[in-house]
Amino acid sequence: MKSRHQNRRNTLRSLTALAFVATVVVASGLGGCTDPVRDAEIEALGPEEPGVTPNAEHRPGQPCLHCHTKGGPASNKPFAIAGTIYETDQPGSKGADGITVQFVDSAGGAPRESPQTGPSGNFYVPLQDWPDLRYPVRVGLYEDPNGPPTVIMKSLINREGSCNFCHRPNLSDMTDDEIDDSRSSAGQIFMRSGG
Amino acid sequence: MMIARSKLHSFLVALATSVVIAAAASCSLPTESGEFGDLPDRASFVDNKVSLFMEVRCGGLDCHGQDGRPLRIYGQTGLRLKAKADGSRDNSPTTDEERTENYRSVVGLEPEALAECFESKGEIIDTFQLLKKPLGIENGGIRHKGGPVLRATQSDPGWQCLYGWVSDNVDAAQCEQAAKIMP
Repeated sequence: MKSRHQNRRNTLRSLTALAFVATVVVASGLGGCTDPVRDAEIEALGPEEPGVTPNAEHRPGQPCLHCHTKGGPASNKPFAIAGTIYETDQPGSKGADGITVQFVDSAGGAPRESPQTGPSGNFYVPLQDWPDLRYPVRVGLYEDPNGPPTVIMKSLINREGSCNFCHRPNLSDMTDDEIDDSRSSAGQIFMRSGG
Repeated sequence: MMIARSKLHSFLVALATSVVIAAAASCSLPTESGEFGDLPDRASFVDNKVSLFMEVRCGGLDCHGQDGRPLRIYGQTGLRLKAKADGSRDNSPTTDEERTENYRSVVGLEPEALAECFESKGEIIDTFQLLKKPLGIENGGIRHKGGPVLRATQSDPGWQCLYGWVSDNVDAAQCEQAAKIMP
């Protein structure tokens, strides 16, 4: 009788210990999937525009790879490089539609297919189309993909796949903090100056 | 009368000494004062286009062109020291003030290691991160998040520029060549 009690107690102890270990494993597993810095940055981007569901034209001007990357909320569609191109450098400019973006990396490589912007000015290179990308990268924008480049980026892309990480949209009526922050933005990517 | 003249003399000597000390201090950066040993000076960094090379090759906004980086590089196509009043992008050439800040940032990383390297004419670089990081592990250096960006060879003008500068043998032409981004 005593030994049955003892067996039950031992079994209970074992189950409790197992449950504890399982809880720790699950909790640490969940914890390992989140990046608090990235989470905060994504939250700061705000919600989708009303009535918009995620599609190729959503969230123009935002850093795409915050979400579209391993471990991100859109990790089912990871990008190698993505961004937004505007018609002009003016705040509120329309997106530049139909622009071909050509890349070349430090190994002479390029995406399987050069991406083209949509109506919002967004473009993206799926990760599977450029799995062996080797930074730094050079980039040119082409109104005519068979002609000369219309715009060539003056500097290198060194390691950031979100073009809009550095090229933040130009704003009007900026606060003092936004003006100071502009020191670290190359401004929005655009095809021509002026309105 | 004698006492008054003596006081005046002492005052003038003290004033002259203060002026000389103040003038000397204003002409040199703290990093050049010898506190850490001999360091390459600001003029060699700017005039030989080492700053230009680092602005182009290291100072991208997605790399060392960021406020939070220990090696922080300002430049025309990267981080600016001051914003324009309306917050629009400032595409004007890199300023003298920005290049001075670049110099401070570079020599402030590991001043003792830099002095050791400079005084040994480039013989002692074993732990000097400024030279080891850009090589990356692949090229015999240490881990660099931006990967290997230089090769320790005669044919890499970027290496020749940086190594030349820290070993007191910089060639401005190499730095200028390294600052060119080929299409």
